[in-house]
Amino acid sequence: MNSTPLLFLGILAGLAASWWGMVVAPKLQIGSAPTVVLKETGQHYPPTRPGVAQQGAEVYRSLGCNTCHSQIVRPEGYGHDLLRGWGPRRTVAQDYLRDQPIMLGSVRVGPDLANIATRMGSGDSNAQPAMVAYHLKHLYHPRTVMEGSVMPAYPFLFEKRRIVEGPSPDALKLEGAYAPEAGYEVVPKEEARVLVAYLLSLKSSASLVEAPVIPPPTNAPVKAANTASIATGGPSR
Amino acid sequence: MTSNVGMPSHTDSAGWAANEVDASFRPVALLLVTKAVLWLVAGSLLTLLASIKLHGPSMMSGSAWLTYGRVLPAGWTALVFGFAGQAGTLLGLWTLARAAGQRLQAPGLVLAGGVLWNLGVLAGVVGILAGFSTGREGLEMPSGALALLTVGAALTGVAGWKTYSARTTARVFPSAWFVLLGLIAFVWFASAALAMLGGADVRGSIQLLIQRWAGNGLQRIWLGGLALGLILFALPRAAQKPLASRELTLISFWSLVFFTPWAVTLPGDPLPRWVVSFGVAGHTLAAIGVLAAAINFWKTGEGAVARLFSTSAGRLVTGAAVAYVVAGTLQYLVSLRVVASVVRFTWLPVGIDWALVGGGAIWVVLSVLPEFVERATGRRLNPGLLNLNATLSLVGVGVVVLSLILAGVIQGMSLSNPGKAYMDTVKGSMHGVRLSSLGFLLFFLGQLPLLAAVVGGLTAVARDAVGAVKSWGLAPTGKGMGARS
Amino acid sequence: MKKPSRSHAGAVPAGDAATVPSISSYSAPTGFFVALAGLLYLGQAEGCYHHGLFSAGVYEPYADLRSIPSLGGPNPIDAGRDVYMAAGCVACHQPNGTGNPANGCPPLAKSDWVLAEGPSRLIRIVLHGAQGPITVNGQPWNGNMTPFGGSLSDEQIAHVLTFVRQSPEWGNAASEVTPEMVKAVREKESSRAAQWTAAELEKIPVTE
Repeated sequence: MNSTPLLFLGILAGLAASWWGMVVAPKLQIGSAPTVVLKETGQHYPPTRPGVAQQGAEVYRSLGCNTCHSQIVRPEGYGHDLLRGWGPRRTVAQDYLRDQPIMLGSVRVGPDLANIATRMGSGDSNAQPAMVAYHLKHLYHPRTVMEGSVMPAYPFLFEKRRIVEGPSPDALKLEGAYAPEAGYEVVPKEEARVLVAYLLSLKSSASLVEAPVIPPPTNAPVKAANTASIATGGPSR
Repeated sequence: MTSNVGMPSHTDSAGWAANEVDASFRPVALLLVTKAVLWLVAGSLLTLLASIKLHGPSMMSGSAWLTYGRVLPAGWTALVFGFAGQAGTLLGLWTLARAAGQRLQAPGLVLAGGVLWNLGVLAGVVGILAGFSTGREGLEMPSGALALLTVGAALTGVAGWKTYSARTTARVFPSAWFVLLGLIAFVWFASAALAMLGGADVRGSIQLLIQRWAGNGLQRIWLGGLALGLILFALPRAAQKPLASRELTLISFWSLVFFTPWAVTLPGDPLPRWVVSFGVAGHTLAAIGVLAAAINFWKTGEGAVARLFSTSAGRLVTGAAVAYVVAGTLQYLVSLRVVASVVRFTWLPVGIDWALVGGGAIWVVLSVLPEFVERATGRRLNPGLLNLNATLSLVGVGVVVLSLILAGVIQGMSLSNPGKAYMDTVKGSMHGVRLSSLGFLLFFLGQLPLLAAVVGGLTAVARDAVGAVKSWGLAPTGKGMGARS
Repeated sequence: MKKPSRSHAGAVPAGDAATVPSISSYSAPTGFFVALAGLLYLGQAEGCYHHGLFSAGVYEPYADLRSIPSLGGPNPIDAGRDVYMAAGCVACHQPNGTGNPANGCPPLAKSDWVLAEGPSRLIRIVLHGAQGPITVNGQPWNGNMTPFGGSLSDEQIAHVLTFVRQSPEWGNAASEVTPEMVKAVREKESSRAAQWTAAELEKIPVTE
């Protein structure tokens, strides 16, 4: 330990070994994995994000949403992620293939968002406008749709403006204390729209070879108590 | 294991030599310590702000700059890189120079590195608040800021190695190894992260590995290594006893070098099973170094508890030793599948981060920093202010760590009950989180006296220097003297 | 200290007696080394128990590819495609079977090795891996393929090779590989551990 070169080389060897084992070796193995073709649909997975959703990912990153929200569903036995309805299967490396940067998160102050696009209500396109409206309202002021939420409000993603020629179709439907004064309306800015487009692109539910979706047994187990849909008064997650 | 005072044989000169060593840090201390303490004040204020926002999530929501997702990483960046890392490096160099029995070599490199470092932290904190976060947990500062830090650390590192190479002692006190490790580790992990995450073609899961590997390396090997080195230096001094064992120190050191960098993945990660298992094995083996450190601390402090608790520096370094061991133990426990399945993604890992950074690193830095400033500048700092800083820092971070761990356990238990609605699990954990705000408040308040003590002391030093220059006949003497009295 | 200290606070004492602490000769108790050995054991046991045969496609809760319920099925080509994706073949040989010159991984689509009359050499490559120079379709390649004999069952190897030899999307059309063929080769080469080289394989008749 009194030999300077030996100390130096020892440190380098130790740090380099972990780099090789935890970064380089996995990169060689899965770092160039391609998209897969899903058996059910014949589509490539994961699909490319629409441009607006990609812009929304930038807003998500910029506002630090991953400080409180994770995007990971763990396998059975890990905190009941599956039973809580956070996804039909665990997430695997394939799900994050297009994430740039990956925003996995490390704390769940808020719920997981790995499947936020499909989790609340059906994934069918008829529900889309209702979902968009729900998320916009939630971003504007989370407590308008969820009592007791600790999520910050994001009024700066919206614009409060005077109604000139009749109310805008995009205006948020706000009630009570949250509603703007008479003659004014709240409309989403571009950032809010693209952020919602990003949220509605988050789904890791397709059955993959390495993480198959296993249909629940017919005598369905107790469903997590927090399952809810828009129709029944707003999701409680 | 011979006794080692680390100085040339003629004992009479030990005091003289140390004095020379200490005095060689004067410019570094004058230029960089205040900056580090300002980052501590800024960082503790931002983390307090973030914590308060959890009580009233609609408060201060008018501006994107003050949203929780920006304020928290910005505050953490200021604390980790601006204060703990910067001051820890300076103190590390000081203990290194003392262990080497040599003046700080190339102080100009340390000054230049320090300037780049502070510019980098500034760019990082402002960048995150302005929305340019990288979105990578633990490495949120924009890559340009991290590049500045890396260059700054490399310059400082050269000075560190030059000092070590010019040593006059036959056997170097082992805290020096940890300082050298820290200097190399920062450059290694940060530059690898910069180089590998820069490419647009890195797949998501590989990015996850790179950022976790670099983040873990920076937290546990760079900062944790510096902290451990400083504790090994400061604990025996405060206890007025020898360090217990060179052997255990060696085990801690090589465990940190060879095992801790592997502690990257945790059970449940979206990675192939073998990658996860390698990370868990890394966590397991890293516990060896923590255990060795624990015994070393225990045997060093044994029988000297009263003495340790009799000074504020002693209380802080004792707290740091305990926090380092607690953090390391919890990090090991959280890597166990049965524990990870319950407490991962709760507040508990946040509590562990605070135990390691706020306790292990910041406490020991606060313990050693006043003496460093005093010896480098020859000016006593106000002991009352330092005492207040020590007490509030100990209580503040202590409350933060304990309340977040408690909140995490409660949150984990209720999340493991699938019949419990998600909203209720959040509500259940909020009591602990609210309690932590009290800790953040005390911690922030405690840094104001430190700022006053440091600014007061260093201003007096500068004034004396100006006065000395003037009294040498370069300027009329009356004015300068009069202004002070 | 050079300068006088005239205002508040006294001067710092000139140097402390011991510049760095001394070190005593305390030796760690036996219990520490027992704990150290225990942690070393736990660390390696973790790797031994959870290695998932180092496959890119094995995630918890599955221990290996054989235990994944979705792998396999009545149609050998479809089942083989799943194995191709999950076992990591695709990472080097690519989805379209063109291989990857960057890491010396030769093509499978329309490859003379793949489309040989019989699969005996292919089975050996999958079982034990292959390394070193190899000429494919007249082009020289030099790569390194890991063995899959431990991680894949006879049936899975038969499926993946059938997919590779018959893949309609690659335009390959050679004979099917059956689990019995794989089993026979596995037994015949049971003593082999090393990766194959092209020179060794070329001595083996393609139909054996």
